[in-house]
Amino acid sequence: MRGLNAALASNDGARFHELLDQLLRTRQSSIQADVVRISAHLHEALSRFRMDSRIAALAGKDMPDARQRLDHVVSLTEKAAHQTLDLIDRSVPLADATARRAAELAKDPAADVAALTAFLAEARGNCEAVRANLTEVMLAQGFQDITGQIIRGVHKLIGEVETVLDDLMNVHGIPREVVENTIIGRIKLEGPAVPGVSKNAVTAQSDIDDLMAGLGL
Amino acid sequence: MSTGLRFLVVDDFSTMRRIVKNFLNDLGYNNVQEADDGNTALPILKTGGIDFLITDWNMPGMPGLDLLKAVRGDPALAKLPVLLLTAEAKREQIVEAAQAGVNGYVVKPFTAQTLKEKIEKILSTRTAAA
Repeated sequence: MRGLNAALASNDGARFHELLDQLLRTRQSSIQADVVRISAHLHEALSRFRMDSRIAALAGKDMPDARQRLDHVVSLTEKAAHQTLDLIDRSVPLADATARRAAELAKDPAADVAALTAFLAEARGNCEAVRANLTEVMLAQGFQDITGQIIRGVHKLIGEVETVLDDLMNVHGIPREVVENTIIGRIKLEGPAVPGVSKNAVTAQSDIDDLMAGLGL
Repeated sequence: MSTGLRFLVVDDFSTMRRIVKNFLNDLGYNNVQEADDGNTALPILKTGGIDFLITDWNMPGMPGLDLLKAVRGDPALAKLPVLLLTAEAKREQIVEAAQAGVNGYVVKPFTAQTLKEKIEKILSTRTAAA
């Protein structure tokens, strides 16, 4: 400002305009920086809002839905397994009876044509019943189509949860390794070993037998 | 083969209890009771009369390892043969179960042959020790 006054007092028009331009440029860049800062804050606030909305949707609706869907998977698989076991329970006595009667007849020197004919009719009936049960067993496996679709849906949701968690960690500057480190070293019940996921898992019974033998069992 | 042995099968999934029970029946063991976790199994065991315990590990309520420890900690049950039939398959877990006094460890999914072998191995060891 002093420079401007001096240029004005000395009637130096060129110097006055040069200094005025400088002042305007400084003011302009300061305003630009403010605009950039405000828009960055606005962007962050919008991101947080979007993330908050996603978290609210996940926690309030999607996750309870997913748990319900997985309960349904458990229920469907349980039902199919029992249905299959029921059909086996109905088939085993038929197979046993046929085998037993065949063995009796083979050892019976008095077995006549009538007895054999009766056995053949009985064996045919039993085989047809077992065949029908096997068809039912086959149809009971249809649960896999339904459960597969439900599990794929839940899988997709878990991917979304992972993305939200990643975004949340980025906002708070939490590196992934820190979270992973808190889990390492703990013995916990993992359930069935999953290829490519479970660490330090023994999948073959022979490996377990070796391990147990090494422990004196 | 002694078929008068009384088994207790503990698993939270009714299908698995049914599979093991049916299989034991096939092997000639017709006296099989069921429980869905350690909490329901222990009173049955304490009542007496069970000769062989087959238990899952991962169950809500009392898990199989806690049940095993409770069995080994009870003088009346301490020598009961216990077979873990579980999907848990980490080395540390197998070692932990062995240290807790398990007699056999079968990982799910299992074959009929494996289960038969383990049961017979445990029973033959007990007979030899008796």
